[in-house]
Amino acid sequence: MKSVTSLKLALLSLAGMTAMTAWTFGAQNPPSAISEQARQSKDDLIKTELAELQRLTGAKVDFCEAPETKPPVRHRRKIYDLTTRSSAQDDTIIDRLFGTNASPSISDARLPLGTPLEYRSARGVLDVTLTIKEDRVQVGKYQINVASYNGEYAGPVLRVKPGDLVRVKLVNGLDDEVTNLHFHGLEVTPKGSGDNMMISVSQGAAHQYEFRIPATHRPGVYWYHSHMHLIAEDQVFDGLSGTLIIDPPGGRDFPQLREQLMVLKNFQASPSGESYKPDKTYRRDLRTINGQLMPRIEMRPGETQLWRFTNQAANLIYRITLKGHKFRVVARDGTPLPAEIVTDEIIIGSAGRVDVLVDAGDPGEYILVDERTFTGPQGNEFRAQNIGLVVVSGPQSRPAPPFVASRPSEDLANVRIDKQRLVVFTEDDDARHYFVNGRSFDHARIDTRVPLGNIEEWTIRNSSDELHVFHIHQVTFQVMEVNGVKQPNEGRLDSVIVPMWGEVKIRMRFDNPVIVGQFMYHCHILEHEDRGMMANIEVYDPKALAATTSPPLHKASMKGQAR
Amino acid sequence: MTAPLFRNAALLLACVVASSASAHAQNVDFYPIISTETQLQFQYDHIRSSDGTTLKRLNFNGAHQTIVDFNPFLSFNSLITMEQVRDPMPGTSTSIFSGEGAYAEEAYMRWSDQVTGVKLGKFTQNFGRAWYMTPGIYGADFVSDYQLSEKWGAELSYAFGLYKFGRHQVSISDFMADRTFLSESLFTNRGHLSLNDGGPTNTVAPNSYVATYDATNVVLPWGTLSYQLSAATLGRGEGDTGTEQRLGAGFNLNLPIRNGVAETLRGGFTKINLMGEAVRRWNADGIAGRNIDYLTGSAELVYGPWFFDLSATDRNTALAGDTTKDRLWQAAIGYNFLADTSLSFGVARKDEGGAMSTIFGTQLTYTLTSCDRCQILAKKH
Repeated sequence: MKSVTSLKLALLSLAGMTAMTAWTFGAQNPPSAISEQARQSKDDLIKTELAELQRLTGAKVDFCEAPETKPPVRHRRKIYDLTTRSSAQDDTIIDRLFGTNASPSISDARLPLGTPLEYRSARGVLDVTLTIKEDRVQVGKYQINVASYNGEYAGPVLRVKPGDLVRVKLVNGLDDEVTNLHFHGLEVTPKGSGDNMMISVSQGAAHQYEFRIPATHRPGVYWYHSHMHLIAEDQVFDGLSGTLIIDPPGGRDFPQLREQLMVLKNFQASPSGESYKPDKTYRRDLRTINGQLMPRIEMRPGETQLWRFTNQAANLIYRITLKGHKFRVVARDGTPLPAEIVTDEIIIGSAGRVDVLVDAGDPGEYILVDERTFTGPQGNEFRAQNIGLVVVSGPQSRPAPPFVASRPSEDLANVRIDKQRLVVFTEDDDARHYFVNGRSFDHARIDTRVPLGNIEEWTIRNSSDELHVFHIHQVTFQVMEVNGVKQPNEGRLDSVIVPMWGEVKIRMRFDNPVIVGQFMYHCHILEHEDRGMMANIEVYDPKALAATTSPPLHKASMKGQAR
Repeated sequence: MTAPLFRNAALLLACVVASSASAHAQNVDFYPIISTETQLQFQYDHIRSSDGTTLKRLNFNGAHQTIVDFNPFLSFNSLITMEQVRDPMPGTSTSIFSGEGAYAEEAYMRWSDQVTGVKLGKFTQNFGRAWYMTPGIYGADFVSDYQLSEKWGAELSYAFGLYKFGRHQVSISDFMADRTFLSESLFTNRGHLSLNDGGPTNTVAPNSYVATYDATNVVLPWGTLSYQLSAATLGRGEGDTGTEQRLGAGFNLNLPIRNGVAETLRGGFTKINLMGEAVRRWNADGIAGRNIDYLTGSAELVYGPWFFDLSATDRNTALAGDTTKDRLWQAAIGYNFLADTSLSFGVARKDEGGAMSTIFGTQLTYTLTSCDRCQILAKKH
């Protein structure tokens, strides 16, 4: 009893000290008013920060206010709730523990592969409204609750051309969450209403993203997704992503071939359809193509099709095989390879895009499999799953000739290097906090400053027991070395898997004036990003700095030590 | 006796709680964030002693960790542990889930900006690492002697050299044994620790201290090195004839053998972990002149989901000119299923106080992440 009293006294004194200190150091208000005041001033604080950002950059930066009438605060629906599991027919205890029923079979492959809803630019403008809805959709035999843009779980496809103006109005119809958009892989402005991660769109509010795709931008497959720190994993896992394709000015890539977009997503759902956040084990994880479980992909014998994969799963790394077939990889992350690479399996890291040519074999049925993968002792094991069925039938066709890029990417092996940097991915012991160079993400801290015009070599080191995927916004890079082994020039990437206890050396140009501003680099396994494995980078124009008397953006917002 | 570190840490924690409440306004709405993880473990041991006795023992070990993040800096951490808290009676040949008790091993507030850190509450002290790093079912049997767990105290830490040459941290801690109701256990009550029980750290005021220097992720040409140097002085409990003092030094070396991305994804990642630690205890357990030396070495081969462990510990106890040499070696093989379940088999040979014993055992561990950063309140702007 004495001990209980002592503990209570200790806790009371700690609480008292906390409150007293807050009162003494914080304001003249009594302690109980501190948190209320902080809450009320939050919006004002953000507005002030954004106004300052606007003043310094000259760009329009929106603060999106929600309507005055807000629905009552509700508990989040995605809390992992063991009690929602019932003894539904296909959800036995064994299934829950071992996930035995997860992989679809050939008999599940009934529907042909569909194409997601598509919006194309017209007369140089793509003007589209993406309304987020929380919806219930049928995926195979499962009914699941998802969040989607315009009701399309696979995500609407935005199709544009270099030089186009992109106007995307994002309407946040989520019940209780803020959100935003990141246009992954695009080298467009990170400022104002561009690919600006400082923007957050409140529940019930709308924001118009507007930017121009440079006329020199590489055609290829890109994507867009929620990038709301701390809940990006949740929102992407729920379905908030879609594909963006930049077609070449004259038409599209491989116009003679049938193009199959393959949007890769995954979900886990309770028998009642509640999608729940991926727990560590992914026991009931189900992987879809274009929002379909085990679609049928029709081909003629000998026909070559262009398959354009985008990995839009929050955390997965895919390892895809097609029995009896090889893949001819022609592009990665929107960049054509110098020449096709023939392989038995395609590895697609988180956020990665891979274009492959597939030559159909003899008539028959072939299963497209995402093979079992391991991401390390501290990571995950993902079971193999059948993800599609290729049905080859009909008249014989002739395969497409080998692909050779007409304009291979510049080789950065022999360019001058202005700066070398080290980026280290680490985790704490229980993999709860993730770090870039020893620090978790702080939106107000600029971690790296780069003068416009620099060509830099970065070493990305993974000092942890699981794989990470390095991604940088607004910039592409060439992989020079992996674990000290020189790599051939296979074009540019915007994300790369970094081996455990290993290193990747990359080179990139920061010489495109359009990227001046603040953006991010991070691990694109979104669980890791949300746990802090992200950093801010600012590209600044030294000439513009010299010409102005205003304090530069980085000084206004820099809290930490710039490197 | 006053305990300035304890008091100052409490004040510092109070200050940072107040200051961090208004920091990072953009993220405030996402908090509090709750994470819970439960580990369930069944262990079967078959112990044959040199005196001909045999003990067959089936135990359940559980651990439930809860972390509540109030903001990016401040969190509450707790660890509830269930294990055998009372040994079987001598002569027992079969023990099934006997003497199992659950208790609060840790309950503390933590503030950290990743450079400076403060802990306040009941937690395991940062002295030595072999007691949690030695691989294998029985690898930590001797070295758990010097684990400083269930201590109330305050710890200050400061990290420097954040990444280029590894992460380096110094920490100091001021603590005492837990004599609150949290020293008891449910199901099987292990009893309430009182001052009369004596023993180092079982003191009226927190007058035990640990100072530790940790270096992690120091990259070498052939691998990655972590090491720790630590010193401790433990306050005398009632009846103690000496003040226990300790020094410890340990390292572990991560040597990747096959770590290509494709190999890893296919399950072929291979590495070797080497670990070594030496600890000296003067006036061990508060007994003047009783000195104990520990020397531990281990090697673990990780091959995809497989792991193979070897470890050995020497424990030499010197008292009044007599030296007792204890030896432990063990080997284990195991497999990780779907990253949350592991099954391992082990064998150990112990020479303890002149009595030899051989242990065969198996361990099944299941980890359930029941709440992964759950957010209770809606997020609104």
